[in-house]
Parts: sequence; C-alpha cells; structure tokens
Amino acid sequence: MDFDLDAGQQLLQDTLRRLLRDASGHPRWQPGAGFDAGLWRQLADMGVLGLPFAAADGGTDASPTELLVALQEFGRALMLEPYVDSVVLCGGLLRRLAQGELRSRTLPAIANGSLVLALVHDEVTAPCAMRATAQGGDWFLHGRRPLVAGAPAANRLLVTAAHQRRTALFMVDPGSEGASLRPFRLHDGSWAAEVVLDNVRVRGADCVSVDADAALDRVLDEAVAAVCAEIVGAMEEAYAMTVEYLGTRKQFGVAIGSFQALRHKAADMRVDLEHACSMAVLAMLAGGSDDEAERRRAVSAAKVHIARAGRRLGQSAIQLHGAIGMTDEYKVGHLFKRIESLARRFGDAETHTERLAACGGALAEAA
Amino acid sequence: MNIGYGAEDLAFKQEALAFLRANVDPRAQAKVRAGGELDKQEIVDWVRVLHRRGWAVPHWPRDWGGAGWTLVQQMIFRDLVQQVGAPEAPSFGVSMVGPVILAFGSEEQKRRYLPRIAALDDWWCQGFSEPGAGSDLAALRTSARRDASGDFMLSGQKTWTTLAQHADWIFVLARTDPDAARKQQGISFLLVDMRSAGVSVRPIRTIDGGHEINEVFFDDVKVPAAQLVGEENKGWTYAKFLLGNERIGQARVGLTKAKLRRIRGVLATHAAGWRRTAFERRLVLLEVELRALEMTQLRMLSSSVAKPAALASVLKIKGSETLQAATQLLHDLAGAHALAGLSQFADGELTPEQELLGLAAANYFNNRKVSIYGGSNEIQRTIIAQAELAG
Repeated sequence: MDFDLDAGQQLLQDTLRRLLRDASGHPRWQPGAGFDAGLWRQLADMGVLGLPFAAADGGTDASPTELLVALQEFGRALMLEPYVDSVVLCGGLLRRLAQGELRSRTLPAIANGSLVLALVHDEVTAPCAMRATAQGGDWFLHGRRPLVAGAPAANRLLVTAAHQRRTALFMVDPGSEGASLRPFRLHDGSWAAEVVLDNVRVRGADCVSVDADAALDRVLDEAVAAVCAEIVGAMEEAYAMTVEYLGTRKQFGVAIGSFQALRHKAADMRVDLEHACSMAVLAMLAGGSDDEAERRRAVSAAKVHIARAGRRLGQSAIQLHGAIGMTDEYKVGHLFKRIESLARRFGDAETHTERLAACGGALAEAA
Repeated sequence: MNIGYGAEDLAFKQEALAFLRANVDPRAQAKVRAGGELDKQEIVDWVRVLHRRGWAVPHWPRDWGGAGWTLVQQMIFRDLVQQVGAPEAPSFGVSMVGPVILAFGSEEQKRRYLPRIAALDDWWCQGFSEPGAGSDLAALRTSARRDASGDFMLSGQKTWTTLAQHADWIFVLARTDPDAARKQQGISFLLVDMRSAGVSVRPIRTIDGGHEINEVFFDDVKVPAAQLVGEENKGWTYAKFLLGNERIGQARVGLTKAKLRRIRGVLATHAAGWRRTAFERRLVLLEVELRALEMTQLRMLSSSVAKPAALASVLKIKGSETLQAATQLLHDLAGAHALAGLSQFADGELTPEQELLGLAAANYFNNRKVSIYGGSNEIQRTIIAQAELAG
C-alpha cells in the first residue's frame, strides 16, 4: 500500500498548478471565461486531455492517480472548462463502446483537443426524454434535455436516447438541422444549455451503440469519482486561503487566527479536508475496480461524504473570511459555489445515500 | 499510489482472523458484542492466549516479544480484534508504560517489568490526571521528595484512574523539583507498586452506572530510587511521548464497524415505516463517515509525507465522534427499551438483541468519555491549529 505521489505525478501536479495560475490575465470565474481555447490546447500538448486513454487511442495510458492529481488541480484553480464532460464522461463512453473508424476519429481528437464533447443525458429529469428511431440506414432523434453541462463549448454532442427499452448512444453535430441549443450560465460560472433535438437525422456511422446501459453505469461512476476529486481540490484551496487569511487579517490589534473560536473552526475544516481527501482517493481507485458492488459502495460513499464535508468546509471558509468572503471579486466564495455545483452533479448526496441503502449500506461484507 | 492490500497483508488478515475465531472465549465475545463489561479474569485469560501465540505485544521490538508486524498489519489486527468482538488487552501496560520503559528505561527496568507487562502478570494503570490538572496536565501537584536513602516519598492524589481497582502497578507523574522555572520542568516519571503502604483507591461511579474510574491517593508512599524512569525532572518528555502513542490507537475503526453491523442487524426487526427509513438513512451516513475514517487511518499509516502529529489529532476527533454517533444511533433505535437497563427483561437467558437494546443506554452514556479522554477533542483542535496556523 502506498499513498505517496511518484516523481512523475509530482511533476504533473506542479506543472498544472503553474499553468492554471498563469493561464489567464483575469480570474477564471469572472464573466467571459468558460472555455479558453488556448488553455485547452496547452492541456492537449501536455497529454492531459488523453490521460485515461490508451496509447493506441492517442492517449497517455495514465493511472487513476494521474487523473486524480489533474482533477484536484482543476478544482483548486476553478478551471471551468468541461474536462469531466468531454474527457472523463464522453471519452469514457467512447473508450468502451466506439469501434473502428468511429473510434479512430474520436478518441485521438479528444486527446489533441480538436474534439470537445458534451453528454446529452438526464442530469435533471429521469427517465430519459429522448427517443431514437431507425429509418433506412439513418437514425432520427427527438426530444429535449433541459440542462446539458458543457454543451455550449462542445463541437459535437453525445446523445443518449431510448431505443427498444435500451439506451442507445449517438454522436450529433449541434449544427444539424433541427438541433437547437439555448446556452445559460450556472452559478459556478460554467456553461450549460438546453438542448432540443427535433427529428434530427444522424447517419448510421455516428451511432456509437444501441446498448450503452452497462457502459453508462460504469462511466457515470467514473464521473462521480472525478467530480469528487475536483471538489477536494476546491476544498484544499478554500482551506489554504482561510488559513492564510486568519494569519494576516488583524482585528482588535492582533491576527484573528489567535482567537480560539476561529482556530477550532479551522481545525474542524482540516478534519473535513483530510477525510474528504481520503474518500477522493478511494473513489478514484475503486472507480476502476471490476468488483461491481464494492465500486458502487466506494463511489457513492465518497460522493455522500465529500458533498457534505465540502459544504461544511465551504460555509466555514466564507464565515471565517467575514464580509470579504461574500464578495464577487474574491475567490473563496466562488470556490464555495463550485463545490455546491459539483456536489449535485451525477447524483447529489441524497441520491447516493439512497443508492447505498439499496445495496445494503456503505460497508463491505463482514470480515 | 496503490491502496489495495498486498498479498502478504491479505494472508496475514486470514491467519489472524482464523486464530481469533478459533481462540476467543464465546462467553467473553458475547459480552463484548453486546457492549457489556468484562471482569478482570476474562481479560487476563485472553491476553495469555495471545501471549502464547506471540501476539500480546506485536508492536514491541522482537527481542522483547514483538511480532515484527508493519504498522498496517498492527492496524489490521486491532481492527479484527474489535470486529470479532474479542476482548481488548488493556493499553496501560503494552501501549503506554511499556513503550516508555523500552525507550527511556534502564536495562534492569526492562528485564524486570517488560516480560510481566507482556504476559499481563502485572496490570498497570495511569497516574496522570489530578483534581487540579486535567487538560492542563503540567499543573500537577503530586510531589515526590528524596529521603535520606535517595528513595522517593510520594504524596498527592490522582483521579479518573481507569481500572485502578485491577491494577498491580501505577505509573505516576510527580513533581520532583517545585522550584523549576517552568511547570513542565521538574516532573519525574515513577513506577509505583499499588501494594505499597500508603496507596489507597476509591471508586468513582459514572453516569452509565459502571465502575471504570477511580481516585488514587498517595500518603507518604516510599518509592525506591530504582523505580524512576530515565532522568529525574525529565518526566514531561516521557509523558508527551506516551500521549503521542496513545492518540494513534484512538480511531477505533473496528469497534465502531462492529457496532454499525449490529445496528444493521436489528434495524429490520426493530423499525418499520418512516422510522425504518429515518434510521437507515442515519446508519448509511454513519457508515460513510466510518469509511472515510478507515481510509484516513490507512493514509496516515502508509504515507511518508503526512504530518503525523496533527493527523493523529484528526483521527482522534473523527474516531471519537463516529463512535459516539454509533452509540447514540443505537440508543435512539432502542426507543423505550433505552429507558431501563437489562433488568427490564424477565429473568432467564436474554436474546442477543435484548442484551444489545438493554445495554444501549449505558453504552451511549459511557461513550461520552471518548471525546474527553486521551486529550479532549478541544485539546486536539488546539494541536491541529498549532500545526496549521501561525501564532
């Protein structure tokens, strides 16, 4: 057993931290940000957009640890570009389902940054309100999805649709006739869109799979693990900012970090941060496990824990900063909003608590 | 990074589990599982079983009976003991005074005390806290003065002394230099035979109705000079070493896990409808916290880059809060059964479930102690803040 980062992982962490700090002149959470094509290219050049892909697919064939490190840095820096949506989620589906020509024109293109994808799936409502009909060699998609994260930045959409009681998966050009997007901004500054497909024609070659349920199940767990890592990165930054502030802000003639009430609250933040960090590791490493029951337990337990701990820590970070923490120009409030947003993606704490109850609890079988 | 157990650890786990299952006394196990109190002989018998197997002091150096286990293996074993419901060996000898004697004692002290600690021939208790020295331990006033022969004359009072009623020996922090510049200086670490003239023990009954803790009085007790550990007036250093060790074992993962499993076992038969859903939700949330604690303990034991001092405090806070929440959950689930103890059930053999429910309240009351002992959780927060914040 070994929890330490090796030299290569350490280097990845340092390089990403520097890159994301220097990447833009103005803070990334301010209006206008959302998709920085230059940054995306740099991530591609570093191999970061292909971390989970095999070398044959144009990827770097990295371990889950590299992905964990990268996602924590994205969270820390409040990077709003749709990494989880395009690389982890859509990349993960294509990695499992796409064959031949479709595979070779998608996975390498995600890794080199030219293809940016968003998954048109039920983030808000279930069951899936999108239907696929086969006609000749083509398909027709019809339906509406009210909230598709990352869609405005995507040049292709991956759409799940009901077909013969299974879930089929298609790649769709958002410029197709009958497709329309209505973009809007989320509280964390990232972009999403309502996607309406009105009998959009998709050629047969762009049908990824007519039976994507098993892959979806698996990849959604990987996405949960990914947002857990991002939340923990944001928690680390909010904690570090708070500790720094307690040491520099003076009231009553002394640093406010000398007051026991505040010191103890900071200690509780540390307790939450350490445990959240442990659970992010658990989720990321178990997320790739073939033991399905343990994978579900680990991933859901991590999401429940991190969503709750992240909320506590984020609220405390604002409280300990006082009024400055409430301002739009200061980073800590945006970290809090990012934590809150990520916490409800791919199932919120309550959803995953229910899932744990349904599989007999969060603990593995008795020794 | 690799969080899976290696093949060696998995084989160790199987071996330990098989041994525990084959050798634990079922009567003692049933008591532990229900949260009941063991008598001294049941604990001594169990430690002798471990001792014969060579597992009574696995964390000690091999020359003194250690098993050569890694930190992770020690953790696996501790968790298994707690999960199986085997008695837990009292820590005062093997994990508190033993390591102090190993680190700072003379060769003669090691030969005299360590083998008897390992076999539980001597039961030790801890003479640290006093009526005026709790969290502020260095304010202690029990004093030891050299007499003409160079031996110490010990006077004063200790309190909250756990299981002193069973003890053959007590390790005592006493002030040997009342004129020292700082209160942490001038304290010595003495080993005292409980049968010495002038030692008396008075029980303290706690809110759960049990008798675990005591007051211990020293009325001019003669302590031979050979029973001073290390150097005179350096006792505070040894005490800090001891308390640092104490915090590591306080995550109590196995114990809480066993409690949560038992709660899940009675949930289905003991709650229905809304009550069932509400309790199941609480149980799942606690299981989640326990998994986080378990992973954090693993990270701490196997990482070379962590800050151990502050992390031990992190584990103490989380471990005690999780254990308290588990006993509170069972207390609530027991409902009206938690209004009285075992006496509410008619005479005759109790079912395991009756025993569990009948002891739920006492367990809940009793475990309020865990956020107080071993350095209260507020002291732990202060330690964390000291490591993290300036000032």
